[in-house]
This record gives sequence, C-alpha cells and structure tokens, in this order.
Amino acid sequence: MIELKELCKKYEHFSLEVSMEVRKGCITGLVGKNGAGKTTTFKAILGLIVPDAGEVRVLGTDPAELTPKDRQKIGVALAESGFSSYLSIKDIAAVMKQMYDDFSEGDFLEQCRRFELPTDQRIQKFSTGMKAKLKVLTAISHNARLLILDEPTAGLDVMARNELLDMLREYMAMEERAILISSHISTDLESLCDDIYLMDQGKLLLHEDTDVLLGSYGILRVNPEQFGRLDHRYLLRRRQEPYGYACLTKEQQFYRENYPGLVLEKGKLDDVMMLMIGGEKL
Amino acid sequence: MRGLLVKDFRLLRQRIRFFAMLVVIAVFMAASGSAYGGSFVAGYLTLVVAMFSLSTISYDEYDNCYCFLMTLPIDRRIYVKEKYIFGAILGLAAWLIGVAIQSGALFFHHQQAMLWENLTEALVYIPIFLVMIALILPFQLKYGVERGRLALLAAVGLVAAAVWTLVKLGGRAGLSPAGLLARMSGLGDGQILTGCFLLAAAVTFFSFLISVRIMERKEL
Repeated sequence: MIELKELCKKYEHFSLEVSMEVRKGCITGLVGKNGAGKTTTFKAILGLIVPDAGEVRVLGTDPAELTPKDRQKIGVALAESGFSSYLSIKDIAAVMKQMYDDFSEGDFLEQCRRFELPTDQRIQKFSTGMKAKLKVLTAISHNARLLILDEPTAGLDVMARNELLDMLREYMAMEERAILISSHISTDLESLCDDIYLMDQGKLLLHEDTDVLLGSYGILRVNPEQFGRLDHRYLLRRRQEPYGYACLTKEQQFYRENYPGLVLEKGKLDDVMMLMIGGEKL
Repeated sequence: MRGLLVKDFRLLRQRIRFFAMLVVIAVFMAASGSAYGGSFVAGYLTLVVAMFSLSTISYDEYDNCYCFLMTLPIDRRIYVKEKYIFGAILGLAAWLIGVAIQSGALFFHHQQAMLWENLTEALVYIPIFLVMIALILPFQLKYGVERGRLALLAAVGLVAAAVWTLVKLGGRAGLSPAGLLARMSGLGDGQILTGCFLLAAAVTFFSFLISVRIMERKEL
C-alpha cells in the first residue's frame, strides 16, 4: 500500500533518510520522539513535500501523480492540520459529500453523535480530544482503503485514546485495508500495530513485528561485574544506570536460559525506544 | 472542486453580517440620489466583495489547513481554479446586487431613462474586479496573506516604475500617452468595453497559470 525506497529529504538542520513499507491488511506504526521525522515522512507519503532522492509509492503510484479519484481511497488525519476551525461538523459533512463518492452524510453525523461531538458548533470550541476524534472519524468516513494517521492520539486522555483505537480496530475488520499510524505514545501502538518502525533524527533505528518486539526483546539490568560476565553477542544497546547497566537484547530467551540469576524484563516499546535512541551501541 | 466551493461559501457565511452591512450601505448610497449616481454603488459592492473573496485564503492558512486540504481528493490545480472561480462568482453576485439596488433607486427617483446608461457603465467593473483578483491571488498564494500584501505593493511600485520608464522612452520615440488617449477617445464604448473584457480575460489566464505553478512548487 505504501513503499518508501531510500527516501531522502534534506533541510538546513535536519535530514530524513527512510525506507519502509506498509502492507495490505496491516497496521504499521511509526514511533519516535518529537522531531524524529515522523511528520516529514508522512508529508512525503502524501505528496506535500518533494523528496530530494529516493522513491515513494502510495497505492502503487507516485504521490505527486495521485489523481483525485486515487485520493478518495486514502483517509488522512494530521496532527497539526485539518479543516478550518471556523467550520462545524455539519459544514464538514457538506464538504465531504461533494468530495467523496462513498461518503454517507447520515452515517458520518450519526458516528459524530455516537462520540458526543456537537454537529452545529464550530470546531474551534471543541476540546483537544473532540478534535482528535473528529479527525479520525473524518478519515474513516469515506470507505478509504488506506488510512494515514499522524499522531491521532496526541493530547487525549486514556479513555478517549482507547475509544479511538477501538475505532481503528473496527475499521480494520474489513479486508484489503491498511493503516499507517504515528505516535509518540508507544503503548497505543503496542496494542494496535502489526509491525513498528522506530525513528530518530530522521533515520530508522528499528523495524520489527510487534509480536517479536514484545516477545523476544528484553531489558537486562546488570551491575558492572555481571555485565563483564555477559555474552555480548546478542546485546543491541546498553545504557549506564545508577546500579550498572540496562542492556537491550533481541534474544531474551537466550539470557533467560543461560543467566537465570539476572534481572530480565520483557521488552516494552517505551524501553526499547529509550535504549535504541539513548543507549550506546554494542 | 464543488467541495472546495462549498467549504469557502460556508466559511464566508461567518461574515454574513458584514455582507448585510455592505448591502445596507449600498442601499443608502443609492437612495441618497444623484450625488451617488452613475455606477458607483455597483462598483463599490463588486470591488469590496471581490476583495473579500480572497479572505478564504487566510482561513486556509490559519490553523495550517493547507496541508490537510491538499490530502483531499483534489490537486493543486483544482485548488487554484476554485479560488478564481469563487472570486468570480462572488464578484458577479455582488455586481448583480449592486446593479439591482441602483436600478431600484433609479425607479424610485423616476429616472428610468438612465437605466441602460447605468448598466453599461457598471459593466466596466466586471473586468476591473477580475483583474484585481488576478493580480492579488498569485501574491497571496506565494507569500501568504500578510506578506502577500507587501509583495503586491512592491510589485505595484515596480510596475509603476516600469510604466514611467516606458512613457519616457516612448516620449523620446515620439509616442506620448496623450496621443494614445486621443486615439482611444475615437473608439466607441462597446469597443472599449470589449477591449477591457479581453484584457481581463488575458490577465486572468496568465495569473491562473502563474498561480498553478506557485502552488505546484509549494512545499507544505
């Protein structure tokens, strides 16, 4: 559904170099701290910026050549952009009705009411959570094959986040669909995504299936003496801690079996991210 | 493109009181009689409303809406085309209302004989507002609403300087502006009006091409 091959975009103080893929039937997550390059990647995918090098294909086509008909198959929610906040939901419904063949005004308004969004009020009076819900509802309202969601859960409380993630799971119930979603809240992605890309300073540090990430990655917490005795072959990163080192491994089973006395925690995306970004490469 | 037009009309609805006030002022002007005779009311309404049509670009700029709009099923050419069409629709609507108000006032003052003369005089505001939109839009798309105004002022200054230079050079070659005007005065109203419409169409066409190029090169 999406393919980036050695995409390169250079700015004065930032450079993006990414290769990635979003497959049909999958939810792919893009995670990284603020300023990692997630939004720039999204912009390149959506044809909002022109890459300096590399190739971008969305639904098999260069984004710059996507026709309006092609674009009907893509639903988008951007973190810092949307419909004018001077419009109301009813206004947006009227606009969407003209834009998309598969948009049902009645269903959209019904969904908005289900999520307690006032349809007559200007969006500028909405809370952050209400705005985020509206963006996602808008993106999924026209039977898109591909959803591109940049930080859709930013600024939401736990309840609202869960509601929103459930909406996305419902959306994926139909086959032939895919989602690319970014977030700096890694727990959201852990529970939702099939595979995850980790990004920092414009570069990808890691790509892994979520099952592998949660099942095989682990954090060893060792003192300097234990660290010295460890087999370093399967250690990816280490970070100095007050007690010694936190070490990231992709082979937690190996260390569990061979070093039964050591403190070994299951890998959580947050920990993996912290160590991949802030840790020392081994 | 219909979706974009719906969006802009709905955004403009926010300013319905302003438009109502404009119409009230126009009615007062027309009703006040011969002091505001001629086609002034139609011109006033047309130009103010046409200028206002450009404010929808500020709405698109505000909240960084551009990015999202360009992910909708449109392309940048359609976006630009919509801005010109929207401006033309609003300008023409305002012109029609202005002419209607003015004609009503003439009936009220029992000066029906002036109707045709007023209408033909008012026609000249159509190419004027089209040229106005055609000149302003590329600057606003390129530099944004605020910086676009400054850029437009600078461009007007440059054009004035260029015209002044041409006049000076023409003077040396024996071509004077007075002579040109004298030649034009020999033309009929219909010919001048046709010339204005053709000029406006040409300016709008080139302005559109420039605007499309600006938008297609714009990184959002």
